[in-house]
Amino acid sequence: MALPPEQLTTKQTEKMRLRAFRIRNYRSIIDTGWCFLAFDNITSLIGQNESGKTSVLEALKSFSERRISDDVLRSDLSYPIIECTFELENETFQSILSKDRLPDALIAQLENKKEFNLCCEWIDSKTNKLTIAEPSIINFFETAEKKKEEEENRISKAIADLYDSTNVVIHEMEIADRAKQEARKTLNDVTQLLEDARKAINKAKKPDFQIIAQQEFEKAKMLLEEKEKDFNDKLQIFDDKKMMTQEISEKVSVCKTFTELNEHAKQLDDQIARKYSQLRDAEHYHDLCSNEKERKNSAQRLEQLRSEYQQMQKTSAEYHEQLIIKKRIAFLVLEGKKFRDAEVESTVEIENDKRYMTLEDIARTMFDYIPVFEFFEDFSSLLPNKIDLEDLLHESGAVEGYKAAQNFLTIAGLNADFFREKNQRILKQKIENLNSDITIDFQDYWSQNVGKDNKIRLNFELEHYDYTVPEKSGKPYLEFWIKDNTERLYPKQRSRGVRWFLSFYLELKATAKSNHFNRVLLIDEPGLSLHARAQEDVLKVFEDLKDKMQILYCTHSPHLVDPSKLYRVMAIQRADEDDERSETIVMDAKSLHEASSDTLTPIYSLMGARLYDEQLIQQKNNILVEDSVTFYYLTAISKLLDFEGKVFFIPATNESSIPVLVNILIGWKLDFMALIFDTPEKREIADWIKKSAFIPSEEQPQKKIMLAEGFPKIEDLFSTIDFKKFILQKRTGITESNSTYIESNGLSRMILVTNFLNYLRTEQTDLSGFDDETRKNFKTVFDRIKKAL
Amino acid sequence: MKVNIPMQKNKTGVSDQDLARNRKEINESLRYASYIQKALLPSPQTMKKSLTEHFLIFLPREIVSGDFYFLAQRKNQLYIAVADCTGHGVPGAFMSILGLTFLNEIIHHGNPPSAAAVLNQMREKVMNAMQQTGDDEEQKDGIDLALGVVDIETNQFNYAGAFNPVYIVKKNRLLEMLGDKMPVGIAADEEKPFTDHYCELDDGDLVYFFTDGFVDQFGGPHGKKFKYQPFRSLILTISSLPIHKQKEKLMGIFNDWKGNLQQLDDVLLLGWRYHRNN
Repeated sequence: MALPPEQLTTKQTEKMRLRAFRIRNYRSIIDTGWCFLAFDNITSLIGQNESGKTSVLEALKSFSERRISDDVLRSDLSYPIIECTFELENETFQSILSKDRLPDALIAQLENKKEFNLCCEWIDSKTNKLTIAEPSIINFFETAEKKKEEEENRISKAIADLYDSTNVVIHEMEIADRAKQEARKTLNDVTQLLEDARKAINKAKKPDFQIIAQQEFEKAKMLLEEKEKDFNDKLQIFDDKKMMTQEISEKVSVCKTFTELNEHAKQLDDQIARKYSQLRDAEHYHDLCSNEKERKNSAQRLEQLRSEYQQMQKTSAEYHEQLIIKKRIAFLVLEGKKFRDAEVESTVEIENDKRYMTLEDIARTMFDYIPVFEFFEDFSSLLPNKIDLEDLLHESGAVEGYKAAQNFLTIAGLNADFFREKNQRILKQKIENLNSDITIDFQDYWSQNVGKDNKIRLNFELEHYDYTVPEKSGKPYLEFWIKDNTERLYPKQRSRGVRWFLSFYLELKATAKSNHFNRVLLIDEPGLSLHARAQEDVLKVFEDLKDKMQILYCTHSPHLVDPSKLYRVMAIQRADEDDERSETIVMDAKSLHEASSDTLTPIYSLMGARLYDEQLIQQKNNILVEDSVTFYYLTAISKLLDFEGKVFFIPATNESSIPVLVNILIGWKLDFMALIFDTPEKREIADWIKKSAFIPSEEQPQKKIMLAEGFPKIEDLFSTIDFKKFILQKRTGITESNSTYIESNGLSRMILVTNFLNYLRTEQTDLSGFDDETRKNFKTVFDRIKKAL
Repeated sequence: MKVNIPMQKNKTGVSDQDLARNRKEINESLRYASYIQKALLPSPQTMKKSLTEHFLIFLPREIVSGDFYFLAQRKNQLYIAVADCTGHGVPGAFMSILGLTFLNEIIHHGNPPSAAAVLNQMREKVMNAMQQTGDDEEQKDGIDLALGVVDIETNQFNYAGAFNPVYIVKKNRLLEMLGDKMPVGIAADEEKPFTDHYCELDDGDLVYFFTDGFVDQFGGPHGKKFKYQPFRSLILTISSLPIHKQKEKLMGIFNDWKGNLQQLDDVLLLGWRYHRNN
């Protein structure tokens, strides 16, 4: 699992965000597809009971811990595959994976990469494989692997060719040897012939016979020279063949060593696989043991098998290491290198390769950097009534309420030194001050009152056991109270809702305070026992802490969904809502309109009546505009232009409420566009909508979110002359934009638009009454609308 | 014998000496004002640099003038204007300063505007400055103006006018570009947008900007106005002459026409022979 916080180095605590996840084969989930978390760190999963919401959270927890239980397996017993995409915020790959452990080619490819994907795939219930799915890294290693495979294939082929050529060379050597022998025999014969010819010269008495003998001698001499040359040639050929044979023998020897080692390694791998299977069976048997004796025997057997397995793995590792070297030597020798040189070169190469990280090493290293996934279990740690100071200082985690008490002290910023203060008066004063601070902070979130006006207050006190607890007499303990104006009660005496909220508040605040590392907080049904208002307080806590952690929570409460931020919502439901056994599907914010009404109940409850039943808003071609003045102008202009597209302008109260309307329309499955005029503030709103309502890579935002560039307000579409004539209905010099003139003269836009509409009605003005500039501007805007339809 | 003759005083009690002294002071002030006005107008060197072959006839009726001319270059656009402000003398001079200032502001702000756009904006500024709202009783001061914008890269000539036309002589033919019949200022009934006119200038074409001082001058044998028709003929006739000769000719004809009669109004006439790659 990811390293526990205390083991993380400073480097490893730099920011990394969970961006998306994909879960396969986990309980009711077959495949969620890629699900993206909200960019602002709060994501909610809504859905009915038994829809699979909790499974999503638990799957992420399993990913983080790299552990599953048997009950997560689907009926087909397929094992889970859980993938998470992380975003590097300040870090880069090179800063996490040290440069000297990465090949240069890989370093170059990872330059500027900011995202990576980790995949945890279970092979069985106890074993999983962690891989990194960053394409550059995968490609690099696949290419390297492919190269190795090609090398192996070449070696295999070369060995086969080598064996063939060995026979040929030996045969040739034999032929050469025979030829050499023949040549030697011939040479000997000719030498004898020469000797005979010499003798004949000595024997010949008569000059004629001497001449003939001399001639024979010369002939024999020439023949000898010829045969000597022939013999030398054949001897050379034989020597060459012999040398070739020796070289090939050397290669054959190297290859044979490699081949044997390879075979042996394969056999060992098979044995390991069998041993592993035995080990698994023994583990399974051990789990099923019912009595102590069986269990003990089984444990011994298990231990033995584990030991054997580990030994075999160790031996296999050594073999494989040797195999790599031998293979490399074989390759180099086959390429023509001398054995000695090949040995030296391959040793150096392999030493270099060893220092590089493998794909598994990279995956493991990156995994150590991912945020801590923490599953918040609501009642797992409630604030106790009291806890011994000794237990707190000695970190006795098993003590009831330890975690909540520790959280309390973390929020208060206390440690052991605080309690060593000898002056009791000073200590009590400090405690009083702290209680006040903690209460004020808590009350920022807990808005409910007890009775009419009573706000609850958190207090802790330092007390000492008296004689009534003789074994602890004199020892200090902390006592916790939740007070209001009338009563002071122990936490356990308070309502379930208060206790939950307090536990939740303490956990999140303490987590946020220790902000050295990132967390993803998984919360299942927060505030289930809280009143609606308190549930909204839960949202407040989320908002306050979202910059310090990512929060992913399940709910079916409308009070835990912010209607202005529907981009945070993922809907979870069964593929067949009538069949609880059907698979779980996840729909992100953009696809909410595909979710069933029952799934979207929280959102519907929040938003009241279904707006699309009204005439104001239609299924398609709704155009959000910033206010009613703009609505009236645009409606009038569309009539003047005789605009043929059917559009429905929807006025917001002002430009900053357009995002709320966008969210509502998304939630109501309604198509929409927005026409926003051009000021820096409005551009920011347009950018915000593009970012929150759409996944960044989409082209649609450009089309749907229209910016009327160059026109700060609708009135600026009119030329100055037309503005004066039709809207202002006054002759005066205007040296600024129309909208600025309206503002600087404190004029009412509503009255002006009324003037305009009255003028159109009474004068029966058509488009030709406006000048070129005005007509051109009208057309520009409506062409844009037409293009977006 | 010495006789003391008492000083003459007029009915208001102001002596002739006082009057003479006041007149002198006023004239000195006006003369000083005319220096300031001249300083605001483009210098001869600036004119020479931008227009090269040109002539300028500028005859204020009084010490200061209600007519003005303007020259500016913005990127590859050359702006030339000749304007006639309501009134002459001091009131006209004040208006001319407003006009010059506004032209500078408009032309040097934002993207280079077209001629009509300049006039539209200038009208707003004049109306704003003079607080004109169209009331019957208010002074309807304004500026009559001819503005040409030459794109020295494309040789396109863009004109817009408030009453004042522009004449272009191309290959011995006179082309008249007429302005809109409304001033740069509050209009008689309703403000409308000024109109852009375009044509292309060829090498050697002559462009004439002028106020109505010349054509409205009384004179001649019957003491009548010179009028536009003869003025057009005159322009066409002199157009074939070298530029400096044209000026001499026009000056001569004007003086001859005027004779001993008083100059009625400021006279401003700018003639320019266009050369491509000016």
